[in-house]
Amino acid sequence: MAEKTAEKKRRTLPPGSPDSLKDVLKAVEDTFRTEISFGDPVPLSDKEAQDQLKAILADLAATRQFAQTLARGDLYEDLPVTGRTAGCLKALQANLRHLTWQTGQIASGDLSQRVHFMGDFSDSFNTMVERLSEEKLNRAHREEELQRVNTTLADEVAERRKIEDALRRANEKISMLSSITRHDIRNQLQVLQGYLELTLHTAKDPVLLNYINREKQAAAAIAGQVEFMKYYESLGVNAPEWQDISRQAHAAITHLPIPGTTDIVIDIPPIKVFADGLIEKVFYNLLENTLRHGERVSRIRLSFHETNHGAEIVYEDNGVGISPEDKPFLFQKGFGKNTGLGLFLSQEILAITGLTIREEGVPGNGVRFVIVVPKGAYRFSSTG
Amino acid sequence: MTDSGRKYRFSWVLLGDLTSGRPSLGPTTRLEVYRLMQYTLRDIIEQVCGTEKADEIFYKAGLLAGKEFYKNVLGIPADLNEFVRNLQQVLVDMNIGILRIEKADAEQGSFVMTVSEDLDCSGLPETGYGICTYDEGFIAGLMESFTGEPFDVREIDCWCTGDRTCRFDVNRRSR
Repeated sequence: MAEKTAEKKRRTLPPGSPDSLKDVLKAVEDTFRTEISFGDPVPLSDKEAQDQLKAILADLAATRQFAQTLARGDLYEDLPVTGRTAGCLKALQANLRHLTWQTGQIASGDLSQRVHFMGDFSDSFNTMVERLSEEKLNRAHREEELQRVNTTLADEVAERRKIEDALRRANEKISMLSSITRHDIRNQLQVLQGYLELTLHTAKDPVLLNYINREKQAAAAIAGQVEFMKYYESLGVNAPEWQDISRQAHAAITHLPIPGTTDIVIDIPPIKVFADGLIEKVFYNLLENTLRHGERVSRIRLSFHETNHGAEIVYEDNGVGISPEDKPFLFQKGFGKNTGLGLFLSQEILAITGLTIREEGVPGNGVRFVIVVPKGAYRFSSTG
Repeated sequence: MTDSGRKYRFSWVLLGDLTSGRPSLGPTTRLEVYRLMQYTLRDIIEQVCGTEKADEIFYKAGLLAGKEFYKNVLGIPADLNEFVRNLQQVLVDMNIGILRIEKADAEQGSFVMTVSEDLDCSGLPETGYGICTYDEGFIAGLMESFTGEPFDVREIDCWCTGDRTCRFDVNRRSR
């Protein structure tokens, strides 16, 4: 039965008049080449031939419609036509559907997909997927490395926290011991100073009086050193914060007996500097030095200005200044006419957050201390 | 017939040791020989049992082949992607055909697959009807082995209907 059908299909059109043949060819050409929709075929005298022509034109029109749909990117239209031409189009549709599926698989992370037997396209596609695959692998390695580094860092942070806790506890104990000891020394020192004072009033021998005065000086020096201990011990104990410089300077002034004849100018804009909480002590020490050693000071000025590398806080007075021979040792521990600890302590306080201090005054014309604040360690604050 | 009384029960061992059995000619043969055997066998079965029965026998033979092939060649794929990938590669390596997936909905158990340059039908004359009954069973056997559930496979395009690639509608059998 199937053979009969095939034989029918193979039959040639019945011979007709030249006009009919022309019409048949025209109908086929129109359906094949143009957008003319399929209508009633050319009337032929032979009914079987008429039906065959009608079927051919219908298949041709359906095939053309299918090709148009495919060209638009719609891959899910069916073509109910058999034969080579339709078969080739359906094979193309099958390949495109397969590529769509493969692309979807790749998009969902399956990079094992490869295209075979599609010529140059296979090479390009497979190269692209291999590159993606390599990139994914590299990324996985990088993430793994990052994860490893993170774990190591977390371990190190945890270890560091433990050490910090241990250090803090040790510091607290040392601090407590130091505080108790200092308190006891100060008590005994007060007793000693009291008795020295009493002895000074009862002693008549000039040699003895000289000794007692020297003992008093030594006791005062010890008292100064104990006071220094108090500050030095609290250095860095609390985390640095943004300090209002103008407010700190004013606070220092209120703690010192500034003579009414001394004019103090604080020419500092509303800025905050990242520094240890003891920064007030820096201004206190500078002011105290001025009062103690400046001799003829009538003017003290604090100012602020920005530079290419950050900013400077400048402390100046119009006293006698510092001699050239003293300048190199100014910030050394123990150097100076009083305790020799004030400027050393100031330098240490500032160094905690990377601030530095130097002296560049002209001897005879007063001191000029410059506190250098690096970029990022100061900021302007309208709220104060 | 009970299994114990059977003479031709299939076993993978029946494929033989081709390395020692064919040291000179090797494990391959011309495709015509395979087709000669299949189509003469099909002819006689149809004559003896009728067309419908012949198709049923071929489908079932394909089903058995698919299950054995899965068990002995494909191993145990981890997921659908690996299953498809391995199957595609093995079918190419063994010159059976070029398998492509058009649609895969694992949840619904619905797939559309094509096989180009198919072992059974590529190059055959147009007969107007699909001929890959054995392939239908083979795919059903593979899918059943992979999912553990029965599948129905129907060929919707075939070289013998004028198409250039064989297309199969593969669906999990409704429970």
